[in-house]
Amino acid sequence: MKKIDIYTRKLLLIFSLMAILFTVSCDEDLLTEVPKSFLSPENTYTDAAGFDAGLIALYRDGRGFIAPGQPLLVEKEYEVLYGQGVDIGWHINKSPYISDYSSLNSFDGTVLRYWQQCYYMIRDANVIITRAEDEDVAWDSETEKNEIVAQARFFRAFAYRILVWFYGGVPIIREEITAPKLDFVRDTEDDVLAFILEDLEFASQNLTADNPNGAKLSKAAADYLLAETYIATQQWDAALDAADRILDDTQYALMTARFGTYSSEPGDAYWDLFRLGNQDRTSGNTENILAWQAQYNVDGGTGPATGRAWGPFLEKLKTPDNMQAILKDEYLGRPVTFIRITPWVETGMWDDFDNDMRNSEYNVQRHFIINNPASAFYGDTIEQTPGNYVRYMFPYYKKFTHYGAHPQGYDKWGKLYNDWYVFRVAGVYLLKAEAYLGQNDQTNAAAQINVLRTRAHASQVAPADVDIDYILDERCRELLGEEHRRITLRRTGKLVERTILHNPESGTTIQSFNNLLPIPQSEIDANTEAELTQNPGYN
Amino acid sequence: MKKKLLCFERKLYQFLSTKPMKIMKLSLGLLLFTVLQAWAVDSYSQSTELSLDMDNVSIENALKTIEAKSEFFFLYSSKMIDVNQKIDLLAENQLIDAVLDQMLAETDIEYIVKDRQIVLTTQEMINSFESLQPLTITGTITDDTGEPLPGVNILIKGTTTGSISDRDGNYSIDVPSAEAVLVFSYIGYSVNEIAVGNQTSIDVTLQYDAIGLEEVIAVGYGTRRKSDLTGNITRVKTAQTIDLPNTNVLQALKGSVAGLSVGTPDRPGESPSLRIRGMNSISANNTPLIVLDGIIYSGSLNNISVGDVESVDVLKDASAAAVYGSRSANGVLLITTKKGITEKPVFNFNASYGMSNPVSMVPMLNPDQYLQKILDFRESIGLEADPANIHDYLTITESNNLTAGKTLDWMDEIIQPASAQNYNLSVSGRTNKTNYFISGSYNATEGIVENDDFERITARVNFSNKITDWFTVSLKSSFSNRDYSGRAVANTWGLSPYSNYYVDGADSGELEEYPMEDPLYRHPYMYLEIDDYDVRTDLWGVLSSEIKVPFIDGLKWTLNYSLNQRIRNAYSFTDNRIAKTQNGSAYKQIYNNFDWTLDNIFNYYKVFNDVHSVDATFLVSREYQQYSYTGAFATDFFSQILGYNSLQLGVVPSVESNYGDQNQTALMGRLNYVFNNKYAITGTVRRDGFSGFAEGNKYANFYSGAFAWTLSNEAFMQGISWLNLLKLRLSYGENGNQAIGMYQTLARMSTRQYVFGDGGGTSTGVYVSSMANNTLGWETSKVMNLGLDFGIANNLLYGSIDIYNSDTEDLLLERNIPATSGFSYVWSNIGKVNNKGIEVSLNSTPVKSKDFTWNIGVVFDLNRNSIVSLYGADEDGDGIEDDDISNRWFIGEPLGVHYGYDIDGIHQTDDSEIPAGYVPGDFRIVDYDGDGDLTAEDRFILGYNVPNYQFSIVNDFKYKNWSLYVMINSIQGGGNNYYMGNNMYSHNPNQPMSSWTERFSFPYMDYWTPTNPSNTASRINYDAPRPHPYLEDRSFVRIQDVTLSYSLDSKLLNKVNVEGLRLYISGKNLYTFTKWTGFDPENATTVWSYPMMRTFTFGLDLKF
Repeated sequence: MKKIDIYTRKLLLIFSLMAILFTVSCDEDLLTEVPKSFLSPENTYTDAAGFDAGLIALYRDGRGFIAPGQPLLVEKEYEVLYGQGVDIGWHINKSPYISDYSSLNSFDGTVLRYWQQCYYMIRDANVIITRAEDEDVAWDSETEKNEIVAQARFFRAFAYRILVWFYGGVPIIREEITAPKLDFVRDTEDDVLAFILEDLEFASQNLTADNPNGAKLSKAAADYLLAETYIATQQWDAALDAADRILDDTQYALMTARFGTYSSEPGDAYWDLFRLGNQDRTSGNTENILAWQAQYNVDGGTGPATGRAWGPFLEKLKTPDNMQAILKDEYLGRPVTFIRITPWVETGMWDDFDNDMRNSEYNVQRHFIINNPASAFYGDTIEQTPGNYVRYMFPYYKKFTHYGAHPQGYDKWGKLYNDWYVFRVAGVYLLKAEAYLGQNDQTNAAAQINVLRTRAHASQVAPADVDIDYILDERCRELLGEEHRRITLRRTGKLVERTILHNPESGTTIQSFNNLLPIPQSEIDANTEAELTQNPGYN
Repeated sequence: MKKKLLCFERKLYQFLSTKPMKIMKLSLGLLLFTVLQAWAVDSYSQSTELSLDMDNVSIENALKTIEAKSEFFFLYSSKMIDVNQKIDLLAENQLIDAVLDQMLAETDIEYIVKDRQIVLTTQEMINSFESLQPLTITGTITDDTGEPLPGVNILIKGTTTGSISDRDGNYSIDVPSAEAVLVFSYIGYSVNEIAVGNQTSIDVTLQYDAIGLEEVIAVGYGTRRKSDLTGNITRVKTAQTIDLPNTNVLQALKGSVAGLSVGTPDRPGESPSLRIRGMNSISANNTPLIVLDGIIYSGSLNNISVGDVESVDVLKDASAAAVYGSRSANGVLLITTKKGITEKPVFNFNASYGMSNPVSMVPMLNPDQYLQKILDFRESIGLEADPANIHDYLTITESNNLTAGKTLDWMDEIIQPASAQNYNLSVSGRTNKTNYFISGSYNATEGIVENDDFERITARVNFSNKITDWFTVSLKSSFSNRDYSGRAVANTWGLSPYSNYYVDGADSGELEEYPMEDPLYRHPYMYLEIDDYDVRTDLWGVLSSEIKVPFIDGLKWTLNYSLNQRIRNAYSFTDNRIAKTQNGSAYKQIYNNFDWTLDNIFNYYKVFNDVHSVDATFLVSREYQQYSYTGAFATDFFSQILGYNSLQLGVVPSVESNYGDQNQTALMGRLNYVFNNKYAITGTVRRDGFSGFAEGNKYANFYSGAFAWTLSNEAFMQGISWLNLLKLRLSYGENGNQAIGMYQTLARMSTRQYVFGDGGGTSTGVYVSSMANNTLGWETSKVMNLGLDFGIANNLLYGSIDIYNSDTEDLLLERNIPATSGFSYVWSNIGKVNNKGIEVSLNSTPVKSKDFTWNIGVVFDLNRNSIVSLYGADEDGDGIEDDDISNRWFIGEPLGVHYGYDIDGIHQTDDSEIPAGYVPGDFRIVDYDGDGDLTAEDRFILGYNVPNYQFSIVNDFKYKNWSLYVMINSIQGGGNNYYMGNNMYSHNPNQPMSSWTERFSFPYMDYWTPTNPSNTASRINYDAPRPHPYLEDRSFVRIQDVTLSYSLDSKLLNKVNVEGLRLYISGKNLYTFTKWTGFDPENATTVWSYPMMRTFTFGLDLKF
């Protein structure tokens, strides 16, 4: 027998150890995946805290219809919901963003993104609604569960409200979808409205009435939408009941006196409603029912870009000595005109031009004065010319910017940091007016409108003058850029008519079928197992 | 240390001495041999002088005294020589020889001095050694042109004893007896076996073996002689392209392998795209598997210096790639780095300097065109457009500059010639036991816009050592540091020619932040002020042990353990001048990837009876991959001094982190049998497991088989003298694809932030961002390959032809689904795709003489892929499976179709029928179905973005010391609507940013106006109501690489101890013949991106 040398002995020992090590390390569970840096629905929706986190995403989905950095909509598209292409205004380049109806078709990106953003919101709501019923969830109480579900159902209704008025009947999705689904079919408009009412009734019954700062959903928010939807389904009494539930709540009242941060500056009550920091109910604002939230320099605090969209492109104005006439500053920021308001919104809609507070010099900038000290013409008023009127100089509704409060001088992307009203009390009176009108009660309808006109120091409207058009005019005077104008007009059946009447650009291209937007072609293409029928007139 | 070693050796010596005489002698001989080998220099014993004065001391004590006084040490057996004899010793400054002569004069002890080491022995021992003394054979090795061949391997057949020829082709080897047979081998040359007989001088001429049948090729978990291959494996040696200014090894492969497409990077530090045999998978990863020095590599190829790479073996067919089972569906690249070749250390220094300039640039609007553009735009939207009032339409800055007659050419301002430097220094060598290759490289490449720079440092150490006859350890390791720091100068396509470069003109020297006043278009050079740091560090190493298992001849166990750590540090600080609203913004992001792989490979190779060759491999493997990410962000800095290194100075902080890992396991068996060099068969089975798939679908098996028949070795073919090689290969195999990443089967949740109430902080919410798929599993390709290798007329023409047919099933698809479900896509296993193709590779050496050689190589490949099946749905009931329009997947059509509306010129003012939504100047959409309306039904397949065929031609000329390399590369669409690209940006002024034309400039094009009825570019503010591409043929022929090099005369150089010096000049992308009107047809790049570059490089390659 050959003697093994010491080297070999050492090495053999090492190799045996190695061999043992590698055979032992074979593990059955080696291939099991355990995510370590992201949550799954299963380990999230187990108690109220997880569901609350789900709700936070829904608030952000909601704010996504007005503020940048959200799931899908791009900046210029917000105005489609708030008035682009209807009686309010058009996009300066006409064709995009639904301002020229002749080029609107099912390939339109804006049409697609509204669809997607609504359905993403429905997805986020459905996850909560479905999983809340899971037996394993550790609810403290039925109330706790219902309040969370109520918020999710409000948001679902909110999304369906946009869908149904934009596109007509759309697929109703009642539950979380966990496997690819390719056979969506459209439900009828009536079914969708009924579905919205179902959700909102639940929300109204289960949301808390308490509304400390207007940042979160409360019963009043649900009642507001409920009132609107009852009107749409011609349930006038139910609408009035819902509206009165808000007005009867002592938390809510119109702001008729000066308040808030800037109340010592010259101004008026309406102006105070839109100053930076004055939306929060803690500022004394009793009019706010719900506002999308913004906060300067806080992660997740992105605000609306309304200043950039609604204001004239002032930076193009020049002094006679060839200098910049209006400096970009903390007062007006940097508007660039994504929406050019119609002449009707400029002046035509004001039936009491001189007295209406909402048309005061604080609330509407109609004259622009050269504020560049370097110019010899400093302090001169800039003349309106055909050259500057279209885009560079037209009335600027100052609610769209937080005047005098742009933090770093101005933001070139037009970012704002004020909260943006979803619902405020003024709108409740207008809904009531509509409901009374639905019941042919012009007297009461006029009374509701006159509450607002009284606050605005405007002349009272005579009951005989109140018709749906007058209400729509008044809504514009009161809620310009706050109400979802396209929805209001579609709901009242006035979209095409009023667009033709007031919008010199979009009005020449709109046809009756444009009342509805097309169903996005990519959705039709991807839905391979059933047909999503296209709206008439589009192909 | 020294004493210990001494003690150990002495013990060993004693141990050996106790053995019977014969064994002892042999062992001692062996010992002497190794010891002498280790101290191969005599200078110490020749220079050390000793002074001693001793009386009547034992020899043993005398020796100890010498050991103490010097570095000498003695080896002897006290059983064989008597060290107790007493001696006298007197020496003054004498060399050791003299001292020992004096000391041992009275004894029968003999000595041998080798440097510091002295062996004491007897005359009898020395005699018996001498009878064992091997024969020494010497000679010179030359190639068939008579040039000496350095580095040829000379091996005594059946042993591991060998030698290597020196730089003049001379060699010397000791053989045990006249019966020995010497095997001379050198890469690229035929092996020569010569029996020693009674010769002592053997001169050898090695024949250049163009086909490389004897070459040893990497086949994955092992190597094999090329002649024994059954699969389709192509070897590319980088030596041929070493003079090209390539920073990425893939560039060196371009045009050299049929079926391998390598893209062209257009920015510094970018990795070219890579694809083998077209596209198999639809949306899963299409990148081939990279195996570096025998182990799967997941790092970037950018980490590897081209100078370090010896060869790349490309496994194309399924049977060859099947050893990598689940990873191999897109082919496999086996990269082998260099090792030592000669005993004498070889230093190699390669330096090059190059300069790049953009080619096929499209100019921007010149000042006059720019002014006209403003008028045209205003006219198009119905505004006043009076040239007399042009000043009213310009910004104040523009107007002032127009008045002053000042214009700027922004392209001129930002495009700069870009330099590239490359340095590579290596040393390599080997001894009988050790092999080493050590290298370092530095590369600095500039972009053609400032700050788009790339810098790289790499280091590599390959080292192996035979610890015993049967046990070898080796370490291959590399380090790389890639620096992508610096935010590149921004695009200037939109800037007005009437801009201000500096505030208030040139004197201020301060950049005008908004040169044309518009605050959305910043000065391109402002981005240089962003403090941007982006450095990626990669550490990689394989430790392997190779054991020849005792008692079973031919069985080998290899254990490979590899580690790869990749770290990317990305930091940035944007000061409050640029990030104005945020008042400064900074982040630190740290990405950390860590992988390891453990392979246990058992290999058995033996040839029985000279005709049966068996090669069996068995593998047990495990892989682990991990990533982790941490990002910290802050904005609103009250102090701008510290930047990203003090994020806490930012008032608004936010953080994020991420982590994931995955595991893979594999078992693989492969058997290769070759009979009489005529028939070869290979069979492979591999079982893979991957954690990323759903429960129950984590494992899959892959099989392959291959057969090769070398007809030219058959007796009946021997008579055909012009036929050197004819080999037929047939293979079938299955490959898998798992490239979907981790956690794709699970529903994932993402986060979103909101605030509640004034003064409220951040609230973090969650939502379900992707859908779960509980059935996700492997994608499998089944590939049949028929190949023919041939060589005729003394290898005047040789090459191979392969045809293949591949079916990929259960494709891993990222499939669009209706967003109505809340998700826009989901990963699924669906469908079947067929790939078939032909690959031809031809080589010839039409001229070969001592002074002039011409080699030419041509590769050609053609691939057709088509979707065979998708979901099996037939909703419309026409008996044919439905297409998936949403995903642009059509039954019977290739992957990569252009689908949509076709255009047919531009609507002109006098056109009678312009559809609603369109006006003159808009592209005319073709009413495909002819129903008079534009509907969704008018969309159809317009063409394909995949090539029809591609080819390249490599010419290599050598004349005396000159050599010229020319490579021509081409991809062709061939008139069948293949290889089309969308070049809309050159045909619509209103792209890429719709509606910006009002304010910004754009690249020149012949756009439509009422007075310029263009048919190729639309009106200035065209916003396509129906999206459509502007397709152009991307076919091209390109003079890809040309290199001229000159090698200095070696005899001259040898005088200054330099072995070789080669100077070269090379050009890349010299000229492209194409109809594509954008930038690079190959990348389908168009204006608004980076132009194609042409590079000239000068370099030198020094060996010493």
